[in-house]
Amino acid sequence: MQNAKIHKNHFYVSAPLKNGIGRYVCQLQRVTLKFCKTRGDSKGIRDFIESYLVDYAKSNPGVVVYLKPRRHRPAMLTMEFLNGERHELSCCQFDGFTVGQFLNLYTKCSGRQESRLINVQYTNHPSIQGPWTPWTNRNPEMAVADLIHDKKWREMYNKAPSATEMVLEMFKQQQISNQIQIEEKQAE
Amino acid sequence: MSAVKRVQQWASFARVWHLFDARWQNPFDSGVLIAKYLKGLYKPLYGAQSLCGDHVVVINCRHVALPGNEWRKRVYFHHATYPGSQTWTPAWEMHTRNPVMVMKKAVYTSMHGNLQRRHTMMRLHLFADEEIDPEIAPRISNVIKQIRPVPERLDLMPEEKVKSFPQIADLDKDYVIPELKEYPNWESKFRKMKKEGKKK
Repeated sequence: MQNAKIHKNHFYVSAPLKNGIGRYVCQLQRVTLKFCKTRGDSKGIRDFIESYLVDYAKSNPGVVVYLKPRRHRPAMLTMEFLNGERHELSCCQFDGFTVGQFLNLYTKCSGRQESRLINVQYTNHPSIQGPWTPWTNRNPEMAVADLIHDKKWREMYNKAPSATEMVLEMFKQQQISNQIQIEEKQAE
Repeated sequence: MSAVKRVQQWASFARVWHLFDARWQNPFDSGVLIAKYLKGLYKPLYGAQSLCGDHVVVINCRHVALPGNEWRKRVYFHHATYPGSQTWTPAWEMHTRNPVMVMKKAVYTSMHGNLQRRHTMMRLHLFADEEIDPEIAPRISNVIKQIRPVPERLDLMPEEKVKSFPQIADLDKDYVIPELKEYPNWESKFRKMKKEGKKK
């Protein structure tokens, strides 16, 4: 996909105009079935009209169904939505059942343009503890410290003691233990 | 966006200025670490298109430490497009001409031809020594910890520390403590020995 087109039509999961959260309004306004009475392409749509159309119209009273027989013209479905969008679908050589499937699909559509879904998840509370900032989990001493000149901030994390430091530490411990021994002797 | 959400956005995407001391550090390993901060990869809200990169100020680039014989062997190639204009500059020469270039190239190369690296490099600020630009210094609010430990040099240690260092071994009365001398260049000596060996 071209980079320029990625951001044009995109959406997060949402109900357009909060449809269905309170009351649900079917967004499909009218459906026009265009077909030819004799052409072979329109066989499927003719079968659909004979068998399923009346049931469909009864079960969806909000949708207005028009039939438009046109001589020697291909089979078409024209959907018009409440927001003014129009969608045309060619039904040439469709099965009657397939026509019904597509009609059911468009009955459940909103008139929103075909767009790219960015995320399947939606939440009104994206963060419980609060979104991350550069100051989350930051040592509060850093606010008062001289970060540029104080060398302790630059030192390697978990730096192992050098041989010099180890010897000095051992010397210190030796001095302390010697002192303790001297004090014990004095106590006696 | 409401005012509260706007402030939250500013806080979350605030650009941070990090400091990194390159003294005694391997520039190639440091380059990888610095690139991570330049791109903002350490942030939990990282996104490639989110413009969440940070600034990094690298100091002491002059005192960088290359591993092994890289100072002599590593070579920077440059071509000025006209025939015969190709040059191969060893690292030591590059360093003497511009002490910042070795570190800069290390960071640049760590991004392996990524098309965004020219833009990412714009947020990198390199200084040869401890002195930082007076406009940049007040912005620094974080320090990136070093990768290699910095050793203490004996000649730079305070005198009292050297003198008061405990005696580790019992020495003879006649034992003479040798003076600290500079060790001669063993490589040139080794080459001479090899040559003499071949002649024989």
